[in-house]
Amino acid sequence: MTKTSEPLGRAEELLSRMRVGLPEGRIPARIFNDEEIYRLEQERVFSRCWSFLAHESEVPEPGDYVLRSIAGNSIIVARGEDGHIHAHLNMCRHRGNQVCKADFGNSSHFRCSYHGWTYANTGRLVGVPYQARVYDDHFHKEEWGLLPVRTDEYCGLIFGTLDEATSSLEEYLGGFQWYLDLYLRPSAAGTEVYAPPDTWEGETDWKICAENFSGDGYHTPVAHQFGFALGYFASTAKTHDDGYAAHIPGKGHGIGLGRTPGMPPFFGYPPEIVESMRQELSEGQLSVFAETRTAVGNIFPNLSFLIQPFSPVPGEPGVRFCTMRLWQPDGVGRIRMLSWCLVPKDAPQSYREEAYHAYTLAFGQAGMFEQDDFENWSHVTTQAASSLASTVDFPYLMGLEAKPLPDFPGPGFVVSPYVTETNFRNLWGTWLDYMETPPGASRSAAPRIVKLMAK
Amino acid sequence: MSATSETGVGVSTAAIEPDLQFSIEQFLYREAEIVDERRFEEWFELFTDDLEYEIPLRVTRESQASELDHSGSVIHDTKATLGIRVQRLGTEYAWAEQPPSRTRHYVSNVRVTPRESSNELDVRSNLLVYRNRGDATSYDLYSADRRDILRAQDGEWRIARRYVVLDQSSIAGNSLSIFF
Repeated sequence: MTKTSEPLGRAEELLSRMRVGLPEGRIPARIFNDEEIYRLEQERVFSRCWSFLAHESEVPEPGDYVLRSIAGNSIIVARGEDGHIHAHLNMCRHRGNQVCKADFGNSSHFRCSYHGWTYANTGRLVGVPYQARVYDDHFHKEEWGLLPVRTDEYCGLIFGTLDEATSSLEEYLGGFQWYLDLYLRPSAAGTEVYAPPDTWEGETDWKICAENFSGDGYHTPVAHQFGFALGYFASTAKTHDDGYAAHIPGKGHGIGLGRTPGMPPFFGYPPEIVESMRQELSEGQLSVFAETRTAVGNIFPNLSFLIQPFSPVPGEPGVRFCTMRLWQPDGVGRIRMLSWCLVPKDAPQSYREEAYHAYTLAFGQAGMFEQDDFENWSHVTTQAASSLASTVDFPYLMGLEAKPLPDFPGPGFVVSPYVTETNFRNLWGTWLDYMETPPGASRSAAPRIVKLMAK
Repeated sequence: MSATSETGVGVSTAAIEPDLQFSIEQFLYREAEIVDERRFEEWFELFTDDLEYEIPLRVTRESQASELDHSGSVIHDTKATLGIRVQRLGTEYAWAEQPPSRTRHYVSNVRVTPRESSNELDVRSNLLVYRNRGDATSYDLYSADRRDILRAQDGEWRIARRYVVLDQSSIAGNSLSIFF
């Protein structure tokens, strides 16, 4: 059932203003906390994009399931008895009860607690109490299975979309896979989640977070100033801007690749992982990743990643940890936050534990860096809703004239330095395309598929 | 993983001397006072050098019994890393605690059980922590099952192990910038 788009006066005005301002590096502050923008996002962004559902390692065995959501729809993501992933709306087709109420579990079937309709974890309706007595030939079980949700996968990441017309995930990622491989392909075995995600409610708009993780290297020396004060970082505040910003034009995905001059190659990885990366990745990828200290990236709209070497006690050798996070809009100016630690499947157990401990100290709800980010973001969100803030544009002026580097091994639009705003303008341009495209219409700017550079 | 020896229902309370029970309770109340007054460096000294401090993650499952059946933690600190958290609060740059949270730790249902080692005790308590910040009238309320191992060191109690099971799977609060 498509939602009708009633005229949304303020939202339309904001988006028009943004359409004019964005090429000049201006974005209205108000988009970060607005009821109409929120409703339009649910309809035009989150009901059409590919949304992250789960990592395949969260449902490794037949019967395993997790409960996730897309645009407010509760979705069961299950590994069927057939070994494949199945995603369905968590709603009994009879009278709409939730058939699954746990976040994690293992079950071959789901039975509704209201009238007892029972579904296999593949979504098929298999049990209807008293069927022969209460239903006649008008009732056919095969018509009343759980509503399926379309899924697609890349390197262990399971995505879902509510829109049958959305392109394949591969096309949607549009070459960003080259960068994602740093997070997802440390060896042929890939990655797995170390543990269930931290989940909490953040008092922030999701867009602020997605932008930050699209390569905001600018904030680190100040927002995380305590880290410099306590001697945490391999870089200094002066050298922190060195590196690259890469994005896929028209797709919204972006990544910041921060470097520290003189850093040993692959600093923070155990030698076994360095060796398996050399087996798994291309020469071009290795040449970039070897020098990368901080890789912070975002898949449009709201799935982010960070790899960073971190020594829990300053002065000790750092360990490289990887966090993946989903900033799910959950009401205006609020998110439901899910944060995972990804570890290489076949890394030594001692490394995996060290990486996870570094993750819990730095990120997650009690993480020191996470705390300061959420503090800033919550205030940005609060301020964005004030009446005077409606008149304010933010400057996105860094790198306005930046030319892409001609020889960079990775795909997309890549510039230097690491601290710039080219990725953010691409992120918000893509968002704007979605927001201005009514339901049913295809997006006006058909994004060019960026050809992967020769490996 | 649990620090506590699991006592069954209806266990006799006669095993613990009233004086000892009183002493443990007073220790926990004074610890709460110190942390609520934000004397974090003093609070830090109440932990042993071999401290293991953990807040496990909880997941919502069909049966509550298996909600902790995994290796996820919100916090899993040694004394050194807990010390980093304390040090950070001592800098001017811990933005999440500027202005500082106001907390009130309510400790109750203190149950003391001897351990094999004669200078250690299993101490299980219920914890309720109120937290408010700035000019907000809203507050976070955290309920938890706290499982400590206390050790007598030079005539004083010290905390050798703290395992705080919060009574939520999705945890309240923009961030968890306070101590439990």
